[in-house]
Amino acid sequence: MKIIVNGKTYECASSITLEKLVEELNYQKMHVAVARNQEFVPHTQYSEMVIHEGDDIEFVAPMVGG
Amino acid sequence: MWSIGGKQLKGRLMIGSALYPSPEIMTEAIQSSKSDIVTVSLRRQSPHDKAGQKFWELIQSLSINILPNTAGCKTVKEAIAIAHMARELFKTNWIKLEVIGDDYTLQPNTLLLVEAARELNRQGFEVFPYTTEDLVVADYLVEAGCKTLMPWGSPIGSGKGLLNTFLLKTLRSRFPSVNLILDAGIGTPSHATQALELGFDGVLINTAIAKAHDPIKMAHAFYHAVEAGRLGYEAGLMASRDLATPSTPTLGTPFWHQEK
Repeated sequence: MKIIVNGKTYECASSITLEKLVEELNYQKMHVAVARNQEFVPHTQYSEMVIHEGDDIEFVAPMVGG
Repeated sequence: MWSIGGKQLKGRLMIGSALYPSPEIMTEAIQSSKSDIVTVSLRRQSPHDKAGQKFWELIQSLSINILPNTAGCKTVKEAIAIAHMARELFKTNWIKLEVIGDDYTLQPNTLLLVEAARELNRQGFEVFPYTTEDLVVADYLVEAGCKTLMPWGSPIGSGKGLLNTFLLKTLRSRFPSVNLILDAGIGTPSHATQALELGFDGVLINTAIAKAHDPIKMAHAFYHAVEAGRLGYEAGLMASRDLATPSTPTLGTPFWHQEK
């Protein structure tokens, strides 16, 4: 199925969990936070969160800011 | 010492972490400013890019308070999502709430700002809203639970200083127990001094330091400027007047003749 990851189309297996997606994209060792369809997903919910077709996923990390 | 966001701080200068020529200069400038608070943001992270990780390690090594922002957000939903992601990543309930309403001036959308502030305060965040000098908006933000306000002096990165000192002074007199931090538009150390002389509790500086020819020296200049402004405010400024009054005694002026 097609989803959006950080603004770009990404092809992944259907019914994938967020935890699996994190692994697939190699984010598991990185200090990142996640939003799905503009809503925050706590780290503790990654294993239960099932991604659906068309979902918009954002991975963000600390960056410089004013 | 003074208190903000539930913490006791010594310095009144807050510093941003963006726009420096290098991470090393950023680190030295932050140290040179003696700031107790540094602002950071959240940005998209590619799994192949380690910049976020390196920045995070650098910021952690400074051992100062982190104030994450919601820079770039234009809706309440975006701002709330970023605030939650920041709370998880930075382990702080502080959030510098920015909801931008105009791309050219980066003026806050104060209608949405109040809505987002109310919701985030309800969810246990310590909200530092980036706002304008508008008195009525400030009243709504305080009513929404904000104990700190961050009005702009002028547009972000403009360096134009405090364009509306009348309303900024009004904010001070009408909200004596709210922490007022001047955020945005400061270009010179004297602008920072002016804000502190008006009774503002602190200033947040980024571009004026990061874009100086020598950011490390400028950070130190801002430290002294803020100290001077605060001391001046505490000492009590003289009343200004329109006509000159001599400071040297006129009694006994040499060569003075009554008939002239």
